[in-house]
Amino acid sequence: MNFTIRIMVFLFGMLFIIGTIRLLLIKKIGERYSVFWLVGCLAILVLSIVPNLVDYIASFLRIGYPPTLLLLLSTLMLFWLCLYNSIHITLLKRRLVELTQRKAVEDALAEDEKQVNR
Amino acid sequence: MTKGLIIMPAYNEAENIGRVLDEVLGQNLNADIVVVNDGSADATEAVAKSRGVKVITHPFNLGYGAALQTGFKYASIRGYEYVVQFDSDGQHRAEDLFKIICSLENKEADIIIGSRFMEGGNFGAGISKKIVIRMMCALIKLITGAAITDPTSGFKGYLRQIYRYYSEYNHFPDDYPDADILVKMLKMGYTVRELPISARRREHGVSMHSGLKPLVYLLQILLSILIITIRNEKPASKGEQK
Repeated sequence: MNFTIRIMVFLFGMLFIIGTIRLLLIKKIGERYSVFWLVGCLAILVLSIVPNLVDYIASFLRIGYPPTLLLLLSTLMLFWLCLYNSIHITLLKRRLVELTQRKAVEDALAEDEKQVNR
Repeated sequence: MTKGLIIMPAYNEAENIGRVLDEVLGQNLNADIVVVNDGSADATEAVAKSRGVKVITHPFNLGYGAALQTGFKYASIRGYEYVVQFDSDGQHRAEDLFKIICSLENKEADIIIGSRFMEGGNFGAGISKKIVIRMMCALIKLITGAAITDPTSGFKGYLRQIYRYYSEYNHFPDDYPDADILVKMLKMGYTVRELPISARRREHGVSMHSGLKPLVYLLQILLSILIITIRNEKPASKGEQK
């Protein structure tokens, strides 16, 4: 990795960290969800500072072409994130449906009561 | 209050629901009617209210299954002995309600299905829909041993223990409850009986199972049946529920 690329990767990592912290400050992302992004950004920063780290880990794992390790790890992490989000979307949808139904039924029951009292 | 409740989920059915309600009301059945307006953008709610029936309105569209479940929740609180789900698109004939209700009152089974395909009826469904229905029937037979001819029927009756179970959180699918939920109930030991009904094609609007949707739907239902088979749920307290 040449110096210019390292600077670029470092700047991107910093940009993501600042962006995530800003989102946290304006409450557009929860602490729980921001952990994943902050850890990911720190990993980018570490790789920009110590680019040989990938080579060491790849050689330890007997991976001939080190960039494939990065590709594999990032793909796995994104898959995991997508699955995590799908679980949360399903849960939130079910809760939203339940709440909406309860509200609709309560409104209907209140209407029934009104009619009885008339 | 009567012993039974007819639940009619409706989404953008302003053009059909008035006529359907007139037909149902014309039968003078000993059952209340509730229309669950599932966030319709048209005048469905106003048309239903003009017929003097109970209307429960979702603020936005939640899906056919969720609309039905809202009806089950209402019935559960009100304590009806049985409920009948009846589509508001005009596909079902109100004259058939009487035999479904009689069957429920006589407690002939926990679930009564109005079948469009019994006694030689074929309803005139499209090829893709017919294939999907045949596959589901074969699958139900394979898994449960029950010979069901119309698992996708939107004309069903349930005794209290069934609809109360369905009314609980996470016990009923939001979208289309069909063969999967039937397999689940059969595996849980509940009884199902089919009665022949006649059906007609809807006059206005688009069916929720039009186009390529049946194939996507089939995959979804197959997956759901697989999960239900693996889970092998048993009723926690069937005796208590009854």
